Amino acid sequence: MTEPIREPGSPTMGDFLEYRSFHGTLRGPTYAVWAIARTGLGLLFRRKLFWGLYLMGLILFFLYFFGQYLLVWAGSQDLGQSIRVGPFARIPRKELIDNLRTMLKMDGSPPMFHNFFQTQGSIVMVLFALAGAQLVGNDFRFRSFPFYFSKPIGPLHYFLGKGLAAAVLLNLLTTIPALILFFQAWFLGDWSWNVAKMKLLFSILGYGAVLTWGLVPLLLASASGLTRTIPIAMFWIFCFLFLRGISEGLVDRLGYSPNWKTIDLWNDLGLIGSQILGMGPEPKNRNTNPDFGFALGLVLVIPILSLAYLRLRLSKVEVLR
Amino acid sequence: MSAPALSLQSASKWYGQLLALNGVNLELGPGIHGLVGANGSGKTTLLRIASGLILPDEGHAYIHGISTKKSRARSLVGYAPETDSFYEEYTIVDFLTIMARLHGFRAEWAKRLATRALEKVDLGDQAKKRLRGCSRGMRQRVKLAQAILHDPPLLLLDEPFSGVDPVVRGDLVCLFRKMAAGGRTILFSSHELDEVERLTEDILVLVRGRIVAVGSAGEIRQRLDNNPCRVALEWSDSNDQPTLNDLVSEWASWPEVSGWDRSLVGLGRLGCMVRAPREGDFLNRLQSQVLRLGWALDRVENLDGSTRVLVGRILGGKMLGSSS
Repeated sequence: MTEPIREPGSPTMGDFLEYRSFHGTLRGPTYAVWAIARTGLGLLFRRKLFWGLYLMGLILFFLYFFGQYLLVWAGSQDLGQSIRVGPFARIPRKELIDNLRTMLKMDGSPPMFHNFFQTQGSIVMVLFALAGAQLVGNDFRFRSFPFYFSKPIGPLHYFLGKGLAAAVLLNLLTTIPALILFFQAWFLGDWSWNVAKMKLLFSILGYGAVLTWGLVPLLLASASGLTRTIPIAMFWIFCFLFLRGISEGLVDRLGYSPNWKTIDLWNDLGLIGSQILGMGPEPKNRNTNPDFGFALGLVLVIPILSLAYLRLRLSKVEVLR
Repeated sequence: MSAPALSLQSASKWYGQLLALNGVNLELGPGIHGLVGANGSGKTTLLRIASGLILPDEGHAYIHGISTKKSRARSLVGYAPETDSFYEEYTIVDFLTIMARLHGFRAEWAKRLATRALEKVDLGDQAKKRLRGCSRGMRQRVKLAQAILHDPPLLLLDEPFSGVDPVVRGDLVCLFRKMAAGGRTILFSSHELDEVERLTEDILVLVRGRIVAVGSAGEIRQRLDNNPCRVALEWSDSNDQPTLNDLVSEWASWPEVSGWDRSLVGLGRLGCMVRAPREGDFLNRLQSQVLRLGWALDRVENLDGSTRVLVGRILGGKMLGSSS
């Protein structure tokens, strides 16, 4: 949506400051969302710490990437021979490689992507703690809002922009690498394209969307309240490590109801992700995971509560009242 | 008739129990307007309401006839806030480009406008400098540049001269005058009262959220009910000139004079300082006396005529601080 640069009836500007020759139309405030997101990402990308953490976050991706490649390469060698395992046993090479692919889940299957998403959790927490302060916390802390809101944008555009930046960051660590792994598995495989592959592709995108919905509003809310990196990091550690420890202690050690595991948000997101990927719970967790409905409820409620808190925080900002 | 650049209609704003702005009515047309007031008098609140940054709890604010409730009204405003919390990692030109893009300009135009705005505030050669390394004066100019880059017909500046050295200050004054001459409306707040008087004939005095006086320093002075002032007079000591004793004996019967002090001016010169309850009345009477006596006065100066003294008097002697 665009709007004219001058309102009808407003004074003719002439050649203001002798440099203005813009006679086009201005883009509407919705376009500012991307500008705000780019600004936020630019702030992060200018920090060496971010790139250090991001490279750490990609270690797992490289492990999967080269692991898949190596296993496929090994499988493509002469498979007629068998390999000696121990003093007596010999295993056919093909069987060994297939077993390895299954065990390591480096076979382009839904469990591989589920594992990848789940294990990216810790680095996502660390990066989000850094990003929260940079993206939103500093604006609240240093009162930068007059620069934003004296422009023709509103709080909604501001938070959509910041949320978009956080979403890009999250998906740079999870969904994008997962998509690369998906296409790598496809290229290394039989190049066939069928409904199952299409479904898997959309499942990966869906998993990314669930993570985005579950984590981005929480990040914005926590960063708007805590503003500094260390408190935000402590909050995320509490949510995703401390609560996980408590839930495991309650359920696995003390025998409480598995529904207590609902307080582990990352586990809840993983449960929903596994459903999206068409997997059931893993056998070892089958009896200790909460009901799917509980997990789904929490993943729906927490972002809504986060957005409500964000609205409350905004009402305290002087220039937005 | 076109709508005024800025119109406030009974605008009031509360912060909790505090009434920051109290039923302000204001209409501003093209030109430069100065806003002065003590700490907490509501200057920043008024500017924020005028810019559409906050909405009044009561009353209305319009920019060129468009309510500030509408976001498009903010396209017509350039606002330089008092705070300078930038993104320190960015260069000056990158920051301004971002600000231009928030206005809706495409990337190419945003960069061009940012570069030209920097030239206007004399920061063209510092465009690639990181904001982290900018001095206070440079940051003030960056704030100004982000306010003017989209060519606004209304410019609202909160303490634009704070921390700016005299040379740059002079450049900014020239820029403001040029913009005003081009039909723009500029409203700025300042504690540099002499600067206000130098820059504009239209001064708004804000006391506890109310505009108590509007006009030039002289007009405001005339409107004050009780406006005592000290007037310095000097003339040469010669035979055809009256002596101080002659004058004093005559002034004793004048209601326009409440007292006087003799002052030694220098060799061959006479002088005194007259205390007058109302400057205008005294000067009128003095004029007739000068004509009658054929008196050749070399100096007539209102010692209390500066804006600082005037505003101080309006504020009841309250000191003007650094922030509102």
